[in-house]
Amino acid sequence: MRIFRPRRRRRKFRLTREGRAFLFVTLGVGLAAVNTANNLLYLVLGLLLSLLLVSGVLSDLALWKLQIKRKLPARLFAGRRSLMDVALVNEKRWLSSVSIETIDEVDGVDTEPARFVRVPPGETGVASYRFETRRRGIVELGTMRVLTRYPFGLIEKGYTTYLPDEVIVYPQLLDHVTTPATRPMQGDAAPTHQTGRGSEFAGSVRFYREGDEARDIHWKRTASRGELVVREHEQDSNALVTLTVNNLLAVTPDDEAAWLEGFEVSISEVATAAAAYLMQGVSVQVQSNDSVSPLVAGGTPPDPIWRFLALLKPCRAEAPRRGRKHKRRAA
Amino acid sequence: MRFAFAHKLVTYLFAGLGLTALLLGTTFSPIESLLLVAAFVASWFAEPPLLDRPGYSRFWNVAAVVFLLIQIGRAISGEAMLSVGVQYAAFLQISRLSHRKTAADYQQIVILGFLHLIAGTVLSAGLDYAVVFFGFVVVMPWMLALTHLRKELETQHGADTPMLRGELESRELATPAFFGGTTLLAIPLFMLTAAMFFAFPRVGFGFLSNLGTRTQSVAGFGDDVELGGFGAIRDDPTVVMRVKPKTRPTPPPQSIAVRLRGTSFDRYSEGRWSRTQATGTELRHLQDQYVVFRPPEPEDQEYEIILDPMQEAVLFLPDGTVALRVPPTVRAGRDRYRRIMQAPGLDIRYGGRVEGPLTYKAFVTPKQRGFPERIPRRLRKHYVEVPADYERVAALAKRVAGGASNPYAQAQLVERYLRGGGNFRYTLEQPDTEGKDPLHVFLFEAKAGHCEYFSTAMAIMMRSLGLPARNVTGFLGADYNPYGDYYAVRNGNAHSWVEVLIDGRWITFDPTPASGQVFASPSGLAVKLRQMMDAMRVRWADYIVEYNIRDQVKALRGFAAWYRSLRGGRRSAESNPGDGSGDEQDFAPIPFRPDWRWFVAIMSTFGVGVLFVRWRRKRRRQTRAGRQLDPDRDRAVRLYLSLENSLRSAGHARPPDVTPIEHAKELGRSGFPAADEVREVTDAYLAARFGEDGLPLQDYHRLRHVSRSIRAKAKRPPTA
Repeated sequence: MRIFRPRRRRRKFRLTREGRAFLFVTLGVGLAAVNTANNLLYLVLGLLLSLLLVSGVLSDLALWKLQIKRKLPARLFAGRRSLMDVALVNEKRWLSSVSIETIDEVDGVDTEPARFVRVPPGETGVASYRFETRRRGIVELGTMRVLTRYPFGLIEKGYTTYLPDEVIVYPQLLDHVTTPATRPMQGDAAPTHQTGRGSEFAGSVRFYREGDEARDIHWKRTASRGELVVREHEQDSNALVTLTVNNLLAVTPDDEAAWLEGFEVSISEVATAAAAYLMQGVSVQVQSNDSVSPLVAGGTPPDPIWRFLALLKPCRAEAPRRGRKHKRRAA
Repeated sequence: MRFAFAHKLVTYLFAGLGLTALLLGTTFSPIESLLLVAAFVASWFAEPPLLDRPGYSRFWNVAAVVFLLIQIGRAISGEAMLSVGVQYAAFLQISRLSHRKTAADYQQIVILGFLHLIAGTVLSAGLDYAVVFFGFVVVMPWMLALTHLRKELETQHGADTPMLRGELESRELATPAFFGGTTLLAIPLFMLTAAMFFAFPRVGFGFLSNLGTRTQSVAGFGDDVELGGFGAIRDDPTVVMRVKPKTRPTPPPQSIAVRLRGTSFDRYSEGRWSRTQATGTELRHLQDQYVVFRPPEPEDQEYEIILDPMQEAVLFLPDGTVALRVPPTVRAGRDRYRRIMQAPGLDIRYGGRVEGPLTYKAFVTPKQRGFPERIPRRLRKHYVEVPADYERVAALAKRVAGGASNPYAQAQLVERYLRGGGNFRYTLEQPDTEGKDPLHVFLFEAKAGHCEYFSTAMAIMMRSLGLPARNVTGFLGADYNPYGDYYAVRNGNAHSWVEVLIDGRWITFDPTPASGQVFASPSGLAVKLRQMMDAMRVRWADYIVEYNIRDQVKALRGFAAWYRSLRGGRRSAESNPGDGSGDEQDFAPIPFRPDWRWFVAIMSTFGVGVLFVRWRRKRRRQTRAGRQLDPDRDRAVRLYLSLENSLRSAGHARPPDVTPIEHAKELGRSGFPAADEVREVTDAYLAARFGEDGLPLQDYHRLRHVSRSIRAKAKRPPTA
């Protein structure tokens, strides 16, 4: 059992390009001092080495007592650039943290850095980095490196903190997709939901759900209840459309790569179409070969459908079973 | 303060200190210095939109090349390389200051400032360099931090964007707290610098040392001297020497009339004294003790003299000096004793270079009256030479000293005549000779002059009487400096007197009237400040410029003794005289004597260390890759890293979520000019890294070359 734990994370450092040049000059001055026995060169050498030393200590101070939090965006789409927010809390009492950089690791690959020029003591700074992935599905966020080159840009010092998280990347949305007109369904097949993105306010409210639009927030009720409450709208029509995605992958496909490419395109089309239908007030459900998405009422956010599509995977058709051959026993 | 303004201000402080370090040397003439300062000030006003004009950048680029060619030409034509190089370094800084736009320009200013500081170490070792150095200690953290922040802002917002301009105009970064905190950095920085300075083992080998220590010129100590030379420096308060008598009354008198002899002149002609060049002999010495007349004795008075570097390597000695103690220089842990040469005329000069003030001790006998000196036969006649047409001077000498019975009395009579009996008066004004002989004008017309006229008159008058005499130059008098506890000898104390050979001994006579010998001790605030500065200069020279391995050993022993005393070993420390500080340990053997073998050993160790670090880094990289890579795979990884660097430079970096093969395909689809090369390198990488194919060294080098060429190819415009 470890009794003593290190109180701080292990720092790693490397010399920057400027630092390497600085070290080169320092070595040159050292060599000159030894060669010439000129005490003033020894003095300059002392100053250069002190600068390196002070630089190392100060960069440590800049990284001291920092809290990092990741703020994930509500929606991420494949193929579209989004901003990921990182909040940095400087818990020091007196010292600002200057020139801090955080580098996230997404699926084992470094992202662009989020840069904080200065975070005053006791305050929180928010910076963001651009994030783009071409792949839908679950993206795992793992460690985050916190770096600084403060104060002189000679040494880059940093540590790695483990901030596990995951985010669902929705399918890529296409610019345009055709959405054939739908007819209201009658009888048992009609959707039971009576609310949706219609033009009329239904007079009722409900609690806010992720994906609801801000313009629907009923501020008075929100203020009185202390929780976000949104207006419900009368659904203009009771139409329902069921979109299908073929996710059945043949056992021996001729060109699996081409099929997968087509599969991704079809998912994008369905995601785009679903959003378009929902905007029109049509309820949408997506059906694949092995699963069905939740039914989303028209006028409501398409997130359940997108989430379903983001996680949809191809399923392989089972090969037909061959009949077992029974060997006859020899007499 | 706005960030942009704060950065500009600090940049000018930093660059100004660097240029001052260059100006401290003697490489700039006054006009060049003036031009440099004017250009420095003018560059402050170089701002956009002037900086954005394309012709402006071109002008500075062309000017840099033209100036370089001029300097090369000057160097070839015999101009000192140091001077030429320093002037070009100053020009480059002015060029950068006039052309500062991005963080990269500011970084270049930092680099040039550093180089100027380093160059200053060989240009000046005085207190002025100390001032510049401490200025650097304070300004450097500001400069480096602000330049770093500017670079970060440029990286974040892009160069020349509205966002960047907004940040540069904001007042949130360059706050008083920022400057206060960064100024406080100077304290640990200074302490660490001092600790490292004193701790570094002084293993100096002494090659290339002292390329340009500044020396000062003082009239009267060269091979010849013209009448009137001393008059020009009479009011010069520059301290040239400090004298510390070992025994002196308490409280110390404000000034003492110490006479410090420099050199003498034997020939006089047309108003000019000169010295006959003669090969001197080396003074006998035992370690650091040099015998002028005899070894020192306990009753001898001891003077410590700290002499600033002069153009003439003359040792100034108090009257009656019989022996000297000149400390050796320490090079590579060995004592190098100076050669002290004595030429006829008691002209004593030191050999070897000086990096700062030279400290030595003179032992003076209290009862000596004059000193004997063996003069070579061929030189003796010079001491009685009187120029032609000096009959009137000879007649005057006979008239003044005719009644005396012995040479000493004759000399005294002539001395008294000049000092008061002849109605001569002391003045610094040059008599108007109107083409006549200056000595005749002095003796018979003006009857006024300064010490040189008086001493020349007496020397020539004594020679007219048949007595060997010579003109002697040196310093007379010194003022007490309470801050440094020594007597300071100023340039204005320069003096001239006469030595007459009587009964085989050279006896000193000073015919200058008292008003020309005694000067009121200067006082006032300015003088006090000057005294403080001089005391600091002496300490700077003592503790910094002259610091050597012997001092280190001494300090270590002192520290060890102090430590033992803390632990109760006071008695043992006291019983061991070698541990205390004192003269007896000044020349204790140096325990560490580095020579070229040490140098080779240190450099070899360093080289082995670098190789070890590189090997460790490679191992770590391989471990991080998950397995020990065989040479082929390792080469493949390095090859692909090189390709990625080239693609990044070409603006087509591989996104993190794209595989190498996907990226190569994507580049092909987008019409990237070097797509084929990228594909070739990528295929080779994948085959060697994950397949069974190897990557022989020959292929590796070829593909590396291909990957490097991608950058150039990508930037080349497509041909029609």
